[in-house]
Amino acid sequence: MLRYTMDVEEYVRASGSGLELEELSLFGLNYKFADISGIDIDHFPEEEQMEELCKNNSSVFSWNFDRLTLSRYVAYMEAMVGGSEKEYTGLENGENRGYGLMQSEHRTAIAGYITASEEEDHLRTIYHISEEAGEVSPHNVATHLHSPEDNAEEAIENLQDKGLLQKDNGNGIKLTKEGFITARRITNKHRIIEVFLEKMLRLQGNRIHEEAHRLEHMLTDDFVEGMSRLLNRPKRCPHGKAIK
Amino acid sequence: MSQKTKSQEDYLRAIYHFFEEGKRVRSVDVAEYLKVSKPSVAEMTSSLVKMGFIAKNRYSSIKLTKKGAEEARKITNKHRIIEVFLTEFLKMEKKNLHEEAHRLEHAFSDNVVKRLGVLLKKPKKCPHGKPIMR
Repeated sequence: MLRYTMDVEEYVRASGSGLELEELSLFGLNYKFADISGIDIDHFPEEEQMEELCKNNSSVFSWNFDRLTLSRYVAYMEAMVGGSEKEYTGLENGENRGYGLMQSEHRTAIAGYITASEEEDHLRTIYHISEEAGEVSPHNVATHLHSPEDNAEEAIENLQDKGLLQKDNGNGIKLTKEGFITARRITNKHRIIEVFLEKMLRLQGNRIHEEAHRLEHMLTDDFVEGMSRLLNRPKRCPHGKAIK
Repeated sequence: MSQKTKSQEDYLRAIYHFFEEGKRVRSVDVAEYLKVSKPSVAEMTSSLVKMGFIAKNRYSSIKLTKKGAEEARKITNKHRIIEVFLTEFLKMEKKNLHEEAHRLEHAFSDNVVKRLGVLLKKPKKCPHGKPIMR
């Protein structure tokens, strides 16, 4: 197991990333939080350099947490103080993955969380499954997720916490009314962008889906509404799926 | 191969903004233009120096290298083509243009912007009258 101690502020400064530190206060403890999602990990110090940045006796480790249910994370973090530690696995350059550095007076941690984009992908995946098969099961979700880094269990738990997904009477799960509305909106957005890329920009094949997948998280609803008007309100995406 | 981050692209475009007007670029100008703190400009400039995009001279002004100038022009063109698209196709109001384009410039790939340029018949100027150069 690798053990590191470091100061988040110094770490962020050394990275030259221009990140801003946020102050978080949870359970009466103050944390410095730096969101390092989307930052090229190459710009952060190498492992040896990290050791040079060490200051106190806290340690760095990684696990997943959902930023919006930070309390659970903090409870876990507190339980870890003085207890066993998870292995530090290092950061991966996942395009969508959310990462944050957190530091309290007790320890420093690198944690991954589910970003809004990932959550949108999860919703769109589940909407897609219910369109095709009707029945949504954890297994179905696992096999349909976009990114190999994704964890179906985590995704489902997160959506349940948000009230977007619920258990149905059998073994399956289904979108709540709110979940369905959100999922449909995201799916329509994706499909309108696909029509735009095909009809107006003449993109072809896989490129259409790939570009749309990235753009759907970054274009505002207004923008896509403008696109839809421009395209005379398309009824189907280039793959023949309905836009409702 | 390390990729540029969004904020590095923003910095390059900000530096290009002054460079284009023939002004000497100082860190404080960039900080003001991007509404960020001076220390974060200092951090960012050192990372851009490391990547070979800019050079700092002893008068504390920032110079774009050849590589930096090409990159910055690409990003600036991208921003302006998107502004043209927003105006001509989506009929967006001028006052919201810059901010919307600012977000979108990171969303569109180079390939998509190239095709947007074709769709718009290769515009020569952005809605604010700034040149789109090739």
